[in-house]
Amino acid sequence: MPAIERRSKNPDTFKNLVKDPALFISVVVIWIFLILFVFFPLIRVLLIIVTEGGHFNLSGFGEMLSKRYTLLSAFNSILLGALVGVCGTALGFFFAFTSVRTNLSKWWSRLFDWVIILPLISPPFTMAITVIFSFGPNGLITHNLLGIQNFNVYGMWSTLFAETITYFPISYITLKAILAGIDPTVEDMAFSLGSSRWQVFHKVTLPLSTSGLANSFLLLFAASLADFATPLILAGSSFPLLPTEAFLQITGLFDMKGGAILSFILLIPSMAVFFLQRYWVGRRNYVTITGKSGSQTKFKSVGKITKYFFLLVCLLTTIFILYFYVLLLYASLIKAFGANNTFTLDHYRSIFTNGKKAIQDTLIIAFSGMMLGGLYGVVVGYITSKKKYFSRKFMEISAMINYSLPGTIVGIAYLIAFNRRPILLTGTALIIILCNVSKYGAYGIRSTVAILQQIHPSIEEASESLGASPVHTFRKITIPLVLPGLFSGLGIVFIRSMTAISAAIFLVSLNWTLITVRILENMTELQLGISAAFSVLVVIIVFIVTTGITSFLKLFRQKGSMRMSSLFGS
Amino acid sequence: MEPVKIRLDNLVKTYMHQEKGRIAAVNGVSLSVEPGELLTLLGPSGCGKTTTMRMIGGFEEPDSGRIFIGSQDITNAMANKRDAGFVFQNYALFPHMSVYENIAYGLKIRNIDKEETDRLVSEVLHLVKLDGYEKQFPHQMSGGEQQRVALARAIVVKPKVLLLDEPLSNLDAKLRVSTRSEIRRLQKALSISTIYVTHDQEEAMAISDRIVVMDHGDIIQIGTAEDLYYSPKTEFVAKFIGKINTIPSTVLSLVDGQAEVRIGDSKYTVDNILRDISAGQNVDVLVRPEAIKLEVISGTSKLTGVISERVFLGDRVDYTVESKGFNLQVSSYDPIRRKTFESNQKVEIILDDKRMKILEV
Repeated sequence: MPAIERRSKNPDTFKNLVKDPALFISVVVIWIFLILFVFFPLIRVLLIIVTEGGHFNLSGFGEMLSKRYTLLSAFNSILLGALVGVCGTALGFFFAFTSVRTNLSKWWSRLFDWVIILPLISPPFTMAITVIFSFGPNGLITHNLLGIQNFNVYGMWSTLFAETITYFPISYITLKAILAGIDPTVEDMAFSLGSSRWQVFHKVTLPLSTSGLANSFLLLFAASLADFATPLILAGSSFPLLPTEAFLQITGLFDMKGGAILSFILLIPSMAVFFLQRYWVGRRNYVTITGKSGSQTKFKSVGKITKYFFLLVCLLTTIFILYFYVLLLYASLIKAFGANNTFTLDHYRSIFTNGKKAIQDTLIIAFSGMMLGGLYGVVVGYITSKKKYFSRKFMEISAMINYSLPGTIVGIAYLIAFNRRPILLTGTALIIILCNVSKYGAYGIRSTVAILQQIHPSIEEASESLGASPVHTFRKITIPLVLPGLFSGLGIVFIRSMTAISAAIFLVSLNWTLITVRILENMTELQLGISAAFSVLVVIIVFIVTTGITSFLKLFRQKGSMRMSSLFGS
Repeated sequence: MEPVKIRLDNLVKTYMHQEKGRIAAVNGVSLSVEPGELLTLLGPSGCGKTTTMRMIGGFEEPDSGRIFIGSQDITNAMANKRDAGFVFQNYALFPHMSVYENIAYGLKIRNIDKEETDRLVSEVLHLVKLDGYEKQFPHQMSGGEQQRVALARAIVVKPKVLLLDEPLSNLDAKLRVSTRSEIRRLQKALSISTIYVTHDQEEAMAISDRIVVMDHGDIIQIGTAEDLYYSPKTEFVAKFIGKINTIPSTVLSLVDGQAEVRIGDSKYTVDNILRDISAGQNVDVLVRPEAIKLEVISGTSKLTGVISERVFLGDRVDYTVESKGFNLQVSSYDPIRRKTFESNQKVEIILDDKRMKILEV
């Protein structure tokens, strides 16, 4: 009887629920939300996959699995994920090492930080669109510069390229934290013991960053696996991938079950990454980062030549990224890319007339998602890290499920689960908002947990010993102290809601649509200028929001609180 | 307000340890704090003193046992219903509030009006010598000032009891001494029953009416500083309160509760015995460093040694003396008026029978 045994080991967990009514209500409400909007959709998908006419039947699953195309897609997805993992981690390491260990001037670090963050806050197609602009049949580089006719841009290499540029910032943020966490005196010590620079790097720095490198690889692998937008535009028919195939199965062939099965195959590597990260990398990480900010080492970890080589790589990448964004802006301001280079504001006129509804809808959905997701994140983050109650651990993991799953699965699951009674949500804004909350609310949870770890429990105890009730303590002490975390969380939920597509594309309707979906539609209709204009608009909105929140946070920033950008990583 | 009594009745708190299984942090602690008394829980880290304190404050729940403040059983009351002022080791000031807001926090909860709050805050700030600090924020103040704000915040609401958890451990040595007499002065002036937790024996002796020495979750001895210093019950207490030498000896005979023991070639009669011993047994005899006298060696000297280390400390000289089979710490006070010795000098060791003890291990 394991349940009873556990109870007798920790009798407080039940007692606390009874003693603290506010906690009890929060726990019940959160569990209702999690059951309805995390477990229920996933179970519905699973049921569709394993039943046929109400009976258990795996033949559909077997049939799908035996198709060569399915296996090829699965293989491609994993291959691409691994390649993006390796390339992105390598590029991220270049940037992180340069920024932490080469004594860059402030100006350079700031430039890198800003440029690197661009791909993370852009709508998912941005890089894919600009790759087409550069390397497509009429591409600026392939056609105009190199004079190649009908260059075939579609396939694995371009997808790899676009995804690497899009996701390497995640690696940069992860590795920068790890490298900065290595006490430079450890390296000084190795150096003073007579090691050469290369030996210090090879025997000290690299082994200490192993967990970070592994973590970065897994994060990029998962990001690539889940990426839907880039392959939809760039992969082409010769390089099928699971998320896009699942999408085409449903929208093209109206085969809900086939799509569900394809997305479910995606679940296996995603879950593997989730558990590896949680139980393997996560533990190792903890040892390395001390959080102590020691004095900056004066010893130069790298020689002059190495330093300039690293700087050159970073600079070229930075220029490349900037080039892509300038290109995007340019494409949005001319009549037809590659054919008619006359300046025009038509595309912007178009998005603010025909596209007005999409912009309004997106803002409404992102704003509502931000408020709900922020509240959800703070409450879940607070009770899972501060309170002890029955089911706490399980709640913590459950709240991370939709966040860790590829959006395609979550989207399909919502589509299947909520298109009939008892919970009929298809066609509403609510279905998109709830999907965003259940998925991106995790950012709010993470930022809350991070900031709570810095608040010593005695501060809340002091409040109680002065006679304040737990609710009063939460309102007057905890909330003001976690506010910075709340705002970073809010900002990221907003940004993710603005730029999301992989799940949302299954949930949009005639009544409610999104900018990202319109970008995709315009891409397929070859109205590239409008797509570019929409993309520029999203980048600008997100940029304003990010800057606004960052400067707002500066107002009451506490010592040692984390930067918002660090939340984009992992 | 009349000071109240605090009573702990057989408190037990256990934890699950990953390897060791269930271990007792507090193992049946019973004690009482008389009205207006300052009682100190003293012991090494992990002795259960802080856990005991946290149970009184309401931040830990005892597995069994009762806690009374006055006649009220508060064992199961929430922390905010106990009326116990708690001062934390790290002060736990609210970082987003000014000094005024920190101190007024408890008053607001008690629905005290603005005028009265202003008056009480400036009164308590005067009491802790921080007049005019109302608008400062915690991060703008020194550790000692923060400590006094924490104290002011706890006492301004006139709690029934005051609980101080190692309040001085984050201050430097000089500030510790001045702040502890401040705390003692306030505590006496307010006549508030207080429990004070520390691992510093000197601090405990300086501030307390009585001291509770704890080890491994048990109370070893309760008494005044004098009781504990002059009449420790166990070797642990003797070693924890002040310094003490352990000298190996052999019991020669036992008569009327007095033991004749041999140390080196000398015989001594020890009558301070708190342990079952028998003739022929080897036991450690305990002597404080200041109870040992050193003399210039003469023909009749029996117990002798060589000075291996000499440390001049101004008010005294500390010697390490090597004798046959043991080392001694000897303190000689007011050295200018006494004979002093040099390193490597051979000396006679004079032990006073009356000041030797044989205690429970």
